[in-house]
Amino acid sequence: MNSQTSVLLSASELSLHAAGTVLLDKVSVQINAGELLAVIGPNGAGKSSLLKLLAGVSTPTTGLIKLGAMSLADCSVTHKARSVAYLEQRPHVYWPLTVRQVVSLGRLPHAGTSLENSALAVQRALVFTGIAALQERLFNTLSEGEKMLVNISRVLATEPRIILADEPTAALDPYHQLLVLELLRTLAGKGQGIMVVLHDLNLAARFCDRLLLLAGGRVLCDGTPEAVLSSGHIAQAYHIDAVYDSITKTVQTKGRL
Amino acid sequence: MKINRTGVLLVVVLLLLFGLELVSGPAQVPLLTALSDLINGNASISAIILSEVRLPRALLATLVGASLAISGAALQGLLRNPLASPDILGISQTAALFAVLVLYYGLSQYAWFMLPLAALAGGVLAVVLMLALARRIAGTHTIILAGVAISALTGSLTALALNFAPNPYALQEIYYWMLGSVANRSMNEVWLALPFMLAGWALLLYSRNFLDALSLGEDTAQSLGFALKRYSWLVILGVACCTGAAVAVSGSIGFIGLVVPHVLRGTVRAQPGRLLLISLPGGAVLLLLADIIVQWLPSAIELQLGVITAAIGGPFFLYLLLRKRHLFI
Repeated sequence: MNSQTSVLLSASELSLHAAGTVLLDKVSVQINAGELLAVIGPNGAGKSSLLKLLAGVSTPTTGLIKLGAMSLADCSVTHKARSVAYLEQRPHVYWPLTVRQVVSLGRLPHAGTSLENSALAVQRALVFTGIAALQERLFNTLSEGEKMLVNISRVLATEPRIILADEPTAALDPYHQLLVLELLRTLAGKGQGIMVVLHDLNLAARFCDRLLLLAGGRVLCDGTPEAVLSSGHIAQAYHIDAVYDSITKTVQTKGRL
Repeated sequence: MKINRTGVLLVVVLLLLFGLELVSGPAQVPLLTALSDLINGNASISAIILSEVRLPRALLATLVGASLAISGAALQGLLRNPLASPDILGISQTAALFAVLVLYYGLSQYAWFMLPLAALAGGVLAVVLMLALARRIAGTHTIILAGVAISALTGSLTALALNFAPNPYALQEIYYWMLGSVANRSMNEVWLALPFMLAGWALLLYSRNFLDALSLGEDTAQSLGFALKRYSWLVILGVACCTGAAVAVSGSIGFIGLVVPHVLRGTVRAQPGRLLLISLPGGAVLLLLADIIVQWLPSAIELQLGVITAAIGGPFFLYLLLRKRHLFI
């Protein structure tokens, strides 16, 4: 294993074809321990498809995903589910479950292990996101911001090494957007590897160590916010005219191209 | 596992109703004398009625009720749809159609397991059809409408099959297969259905964590370590075993699979996995109760069981709809 950074999850040359269209074309990426990595790119760039492949929810047409040193396909289902947690876009809860019940579902990969440990992990997750007071509330009665905190708690209850979150800040107010990214930042600081899909380039630049810019199913650029958010890259991916200010870490958009 | 108070209560009520079912019927049978005759090997009339008539009936009511209820709970969890149940989705009716085809066209004479196997195959076919439809038409209501269409179609085909069968009692038999009954059964039917039902219960209970995970949607369930296809098949087979075996020995009895999970959902805080286990005694209680009412009603010919389950289930379901709308999303 590399001495400087430890690679938790890596993908090489992932391609995904569905119904005659190429959704992803030879995408390679790695998620390192202690790193917050944002996947950015226009709608339809393949961001969600990439996350689903890495989460093992769907399988790539070609390419290899490795969890640590092992191929994801060779990992036991339990090992994979305990190591990689996936937070889907617009998560939905189908029955009138309480917050605590929803968060406890994050312990399913550990089914059959100590119930006490599970209760502790659930409690820690609820406290970490600051929603312990809501635990007896019904999930479907919460605001969007609260719901996202519940979902993050659910992911944390699994105690994964890798978190894959698909647009966790969509539909949230600015307060909750900042809160969610601060929480993810803190988790990365504790050594977890986190990949998050974001549409807000300012949030991505401000909070993330590294950005992966996808367009048309391909990696356009992978690197620091300064390197990725050049006017040229933004123009190529989004067809807009924008300037990145590396001091304030903000992107100013000027208009469509 | 925490002991659920409602579960304990249900088991106690189940035992009481089982006893009551044993003393219900046209002939007066002193239960204790009959039991002691049975144990001492005295072939008294009471003992024979108890062992040959009452016991199989009570056992079948218990097993069929439990199997239909757990099937309903599992289907609601799998489709994440509170309106799903074996009879509403047409699974019972398809199983009945297959059972009728085997029974009246002479195939059942080749092997004892042909009848339950055919009903089971009908069940699998109906659930697979249902899932295929569920993938294509996403809405809660369209799935139910598709189920109504399937059940109407297979119901009419069953009637047709019976009409063309070389059978002078066709009308009566149609009535039986459509509404269901556990009257006039022997222990043979119990032994026929039991292995399939136990296998079905085991499959469904084994899938309980999967059904819990599914309350977060298919993708998340998969990320939590549940292979979607494999577990869906386990649930399908489990439902088909339970419903197929139940239908093979009792016709298609309605409402149990729909109502019981709804009544009990609140007692397990809506968790689909926990709902499975408690639905077993729940369904048994409801069907035993219905069968006791059937026997106590002073009607000239005994009513079919489905009439009573619908008569109890229908109004109760309406009451639930009005009072607990939030449970139905």
